[in-house]
Amino acid sequence: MSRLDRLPPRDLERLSAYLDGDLDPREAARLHARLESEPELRLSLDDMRQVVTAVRGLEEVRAPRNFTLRAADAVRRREPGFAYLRFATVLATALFVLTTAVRTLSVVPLQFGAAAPVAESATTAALEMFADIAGAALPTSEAPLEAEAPPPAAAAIPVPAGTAAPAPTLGGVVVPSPAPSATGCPSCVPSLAYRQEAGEDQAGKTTETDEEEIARAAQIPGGPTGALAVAQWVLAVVVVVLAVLTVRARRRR
Amino acid sequence: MDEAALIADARRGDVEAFNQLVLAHQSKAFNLAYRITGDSDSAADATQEAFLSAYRSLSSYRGGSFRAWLLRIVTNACYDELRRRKRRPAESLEEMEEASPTGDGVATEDVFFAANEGPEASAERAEVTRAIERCLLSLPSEFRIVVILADILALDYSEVASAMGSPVGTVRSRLARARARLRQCLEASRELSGWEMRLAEERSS
Repeated sequence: MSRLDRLPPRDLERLSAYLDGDLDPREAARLHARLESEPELRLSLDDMRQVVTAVRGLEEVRAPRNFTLRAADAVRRREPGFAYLRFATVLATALFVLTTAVRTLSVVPLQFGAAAPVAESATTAALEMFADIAGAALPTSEAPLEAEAPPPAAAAIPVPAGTAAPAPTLGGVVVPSPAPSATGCPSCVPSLAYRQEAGEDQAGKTTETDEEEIARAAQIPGGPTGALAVAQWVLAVVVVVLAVLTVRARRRR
Repeated sequence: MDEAALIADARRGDVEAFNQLVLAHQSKAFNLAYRITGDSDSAADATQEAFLSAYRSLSSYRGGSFRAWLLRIVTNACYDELRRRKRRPAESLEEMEEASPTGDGVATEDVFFAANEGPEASAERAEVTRAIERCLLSLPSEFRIVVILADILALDYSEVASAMGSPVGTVRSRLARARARLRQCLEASRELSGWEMRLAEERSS
């Protein structure tokens, strides 16, 4: 530890300012008096003076060239501004999140609105059963948290990343692809008939198990949900492209 | 033509007027950049970028010391440049020593060394210079910048405050602490290399 480090901060500042001639006359006179009677303070002043002199003695470096501007350089380039790109990225991301949220939540409202009381009761039943299944899937867990719920089978769910919000909530049930085109009628109103057919197609394993019912409830193809899926994919691509452009623009700045 | 008139012309888009300002301030701007980055190429890039940026944002200059306003832009450009190169200033020390425009014979005033020195003294002087540069680069950025502005570029406290965007009181205390740290670092260097500060000898004699 050097002598200067042992000095009270106020004295350190006083000595520093004194060397720069930045103390007012009264303060300077007071310091003079102290320097006369305090050898340690005098030595500290010398220590600091050496440092200041050493640093001030560093030779000025010569600029390797002139930094004058050419008229052409001085004109701002008309390239997409970083600020605009950043705003567009944020906007697209927000829309993507919104679309995902709407699509995730639309399982219930869509059936209420469009699929008749049968669908309503099916959804309600499915939601009730989900609670049972989630509990059953983790018999040792007192509180089956959603994050813990998906067992390895959940990885087999053929749903695009970022759009899989409904699937994991099924407690790890293997869900077939939504494949809107499989219905041959993208705008069809989801019906119980479809769900029954789908259920029979799946009936190789078990018939009308709780899992299958929930799976169908989560995958009503066509209609607004299908359009949302497309929008979601398009937005995902737009977000990625904009993010890349924004990062590049940031580097160019 | 005085500085205010040149600034007014440059604001109206007169690049030649701005270039006169560039020529007047480029030495200090480059020295600041060089001492912050510790590397000649990075310093040149940052200085060029800073002048371009200054020209384009002349409308944000609201009077006061034009030099301090400019040096603040240079400081920011240096940090952008360092980020771009993904290097910390201290890491480019070796390069700085190799490419140092000061070479191996920097005048560090007569405090340390007499004017008529032999080869041994000359080598010692070069070692002292390297130690000072190394210690400067080892300081945290806020301390390094205040030392560069106040001691190397010889700006007064109010200009340093303006260039750093800090109150004068902060400049004062930072400068004092920075000098104490430099002292500690130089003492450690002296112990490692065995060289003695001439002034210390003079003081004791």
